[in-house]
Amino acid sequence: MKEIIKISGLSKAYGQVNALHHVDLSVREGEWVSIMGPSGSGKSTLLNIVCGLDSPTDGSVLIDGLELAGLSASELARYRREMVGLIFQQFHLVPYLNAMENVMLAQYFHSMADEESARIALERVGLGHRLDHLPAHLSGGEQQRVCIARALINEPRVLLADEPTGNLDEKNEEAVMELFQELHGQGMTLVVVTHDVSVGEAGDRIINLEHGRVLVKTAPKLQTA
Amino acid sequence: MLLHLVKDSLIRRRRRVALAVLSLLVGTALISALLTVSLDIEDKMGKEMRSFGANILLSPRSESVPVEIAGMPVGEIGEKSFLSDAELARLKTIFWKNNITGFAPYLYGSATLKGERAVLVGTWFEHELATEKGPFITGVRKIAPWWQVEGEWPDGKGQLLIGRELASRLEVSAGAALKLESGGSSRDFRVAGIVSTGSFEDNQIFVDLPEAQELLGLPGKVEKVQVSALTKPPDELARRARLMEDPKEGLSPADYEKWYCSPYIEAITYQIQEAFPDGQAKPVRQVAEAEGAFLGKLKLLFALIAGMAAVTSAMGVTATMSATVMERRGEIGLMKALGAENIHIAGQFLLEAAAIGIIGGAAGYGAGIGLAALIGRLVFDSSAAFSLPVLPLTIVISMAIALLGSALPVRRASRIQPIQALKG
Ligand SMILES: Nc1ncnc2c1ncn2[C@@H]1O[C@H](COP(=O)(O)OP(=O)(O)OP(=O)(O)O)[C@@H](O)[C@H]1O
Ligand SMILES: [Mg+2]
Repeated sequence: MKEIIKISGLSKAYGQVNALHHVDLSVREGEWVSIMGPSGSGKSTLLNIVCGLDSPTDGSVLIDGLELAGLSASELARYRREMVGLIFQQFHLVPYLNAMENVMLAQYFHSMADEESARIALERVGLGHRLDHLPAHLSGGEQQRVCIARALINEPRVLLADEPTGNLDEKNEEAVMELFQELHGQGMTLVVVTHDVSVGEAGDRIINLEHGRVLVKTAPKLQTA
Repeated sequence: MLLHLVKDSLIRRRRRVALAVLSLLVGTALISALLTVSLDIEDKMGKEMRSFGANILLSPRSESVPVEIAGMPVGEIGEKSFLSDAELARLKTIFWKNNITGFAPYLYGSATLKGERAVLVGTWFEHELATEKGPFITGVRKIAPWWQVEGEWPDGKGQLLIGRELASRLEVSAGAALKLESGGSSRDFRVAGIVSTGSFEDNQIFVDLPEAQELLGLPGKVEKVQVSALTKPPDELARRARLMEDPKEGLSPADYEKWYCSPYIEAITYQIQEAFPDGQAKPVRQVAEAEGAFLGKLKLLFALIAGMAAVTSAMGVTATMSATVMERRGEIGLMKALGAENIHIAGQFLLEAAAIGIIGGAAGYGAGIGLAALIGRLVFDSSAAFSLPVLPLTIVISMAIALLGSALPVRRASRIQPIQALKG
C-alpha cells in the first residue's frame, strides 16, 4: 500500500537538546501506528512536526507527497486544515462555544461552517444528544469525542493524536478506543502517541522512541492489509 | 461563526470593552463637538462676512467728501449726488454676476412721526429683479439675515418697519397706524414689524424704496448700495494687485486675466466699478479678512486638540485589545493549530475593534452634542447648531481610531506560535 507519511533523517534540536535524532519512519495509508517511549523521548516533538506545528532542524517529512520542511506559515496552516485531524491530551476546546460550535470552528477555517454536517459528525461519535453543551458541562470522554468529531469534520487524510486517553478514565478510554477502531476499519490512517501499553497495542505497529531515536519496531497484531 | 466569536468575545470581556468604548467616547465626543462647533462658526461667520454684506459698497461718485454719521450720508461739500435704481440690475451683468448673492439700495431722509424727527430709510425688503437668467430676489432680507423682526416684514404699500428703540420711545407696537411727515407731504403707514439689529437701525424707520422716493421727492434715486458677494480669500496675486492703482496696467496681461477671472473681492469690486462709471465701488474687507484669519487659527487649534484626543483614544483601544489578545492566546493558538490563517485571526480582532468603534463613536456623538452646546454657550455665547452629517463622520473617525489602535495587538496576535500557546 501507498506510503502516506514518509519521514527520513528527521532531527530536531532545541538548543543543546536533541529531541529527535535521525528518525526514519514510514506510515502506509490506512495504517494505525502507535508511538511509545519514556517521557522526554521526543514523541510529542515528532507528532508536532508531522502535523506542521513545529519545524524540523534537519531531514524531510513527506505527507502524501507534500514536503513539509520549507513550507511557509500560511502553507502549513492550509496543510493542517486540509490534510490532518488533530487530537490533543488536553482536548483544547473553546470553553465558550458549545460542542457543535467547536466542531464548526474547524469547518469555518476550512471552508464554511455548516450546522448539519457538524451535527452528523457529533452523532458519529455518539454525542447527538450533547450538541449544545459547553465543554465544561461534558465529561472528559465526551470532550475528547468532540475533539475527534472536530478532527474529522474536514475529512483529513491522517488523524494525529497526542496522548488522546491521557486524561481519561478507563471507561472513557474504551469509548475513544472503540471510535479509533471504527475509524481504522473505515480506512483512516492513525498515528497515536501514548504511554499506555494497552492503547499502544491496539495499533498495527508500535514505534518505540528513546532519546529521540527509534528503537524497535514490533508488530503486535496481524497487519491489516 | 465570525460574528459569533466576536460577539462572544465582546460580551465576555464587557468590562474591558466598556473601557475601550469609554476612551473612544471621550475622544470622539471632543472631536465631534469641535467638528460641530467649527462647522457652525464657519456657517455663522460666513453669514456675518456676507452681511457686512456690505463686503462691497457702491455709492455715487462725487468730487465732494461724503460725511457719514450712523451709516447715513449726512452731508457733503457740494451737491448731493445719487445713483438711479433702474441701473442696479447691472450688478447682475458683471463677469462674476453669479457670486453677487444679494444687494440692497438705500435712500436716506428725515421724517417726523408723533412729533419726533427720525431717519427715514427707503430700501428693498424683498425685491424681485428681472435678470437675463430670470427673476432674482434681493433686498435687506437677503443681505442682512441677522435683522430680527418682531411682527412681519412689510410686503405691500403703506407698510413700514420701525427700529426697536424708536418704537419703544414712541410706544408704538406692530400693527399700529403711523403718520409720516416729510418736507410738505405726509402719508399714513401701518407698522408691519419692529426691527432690532443692535445697531443704529434700531432708531430708524424703513419703508419700501419707491415710497421713500415719493415722500422725499427723489424719484428713482438711490444713495448707496450694499452688495453681498461670495469671494475668494486673497492669495499672492490678489495681494500684489492690491498694491496697484489699476491692476489692468500694473499686472502682466496674463496675470490681469487671471486676476479678473478670480472672485477676489477687489476683482468683483473692479467689475462693479466698470458697470457703474458714475458710481464708486469700494470693498469693505478688513473685518471679513480678520475674521477669516482668526477662523483659520481656531480651526488649527481644534485640529490639534482633535488629533491629541484621537491618539489618546487609540491608546485606550490598544490597551484593551492587547489585554484581549493576551487573554485569548490559547484560543488563538488552537485556531491556528486547526488551520486558521492570520487573516482569520486578524479579522476577528478588527471586527471586534470596529464594533467597539461604532459603539464608542455613536455614544461620543451623543456626548459631543452636549459638549458642543456647552462650548458654544461658554465660548461663543451662542449655542452651536448640531449637524447630522457629523454623526456618520464621527462614527467613521471612531472606527478608524479603533482599527488603528488595534494594529499593534493584531500584529502581536498574528505572531503567536500555536504550539507555544497550546502548551502554556
Ligand atoms: N520548546 C522546547 N524547548 C526546549 N526543549 C524542548 C521543547 N520542547 C521539547 N523539548 C525537549 O525535547 C525533548 C522531547 O520532548 P517531547 O515533548 O517530545 O517529549 P515526549 O516524549 O512527548 O514526553 P512526554 O511523554 O512527557 O510528553 C525533551 O527533553 C524536552 O525537554
Ligand atoms: Mg508529549
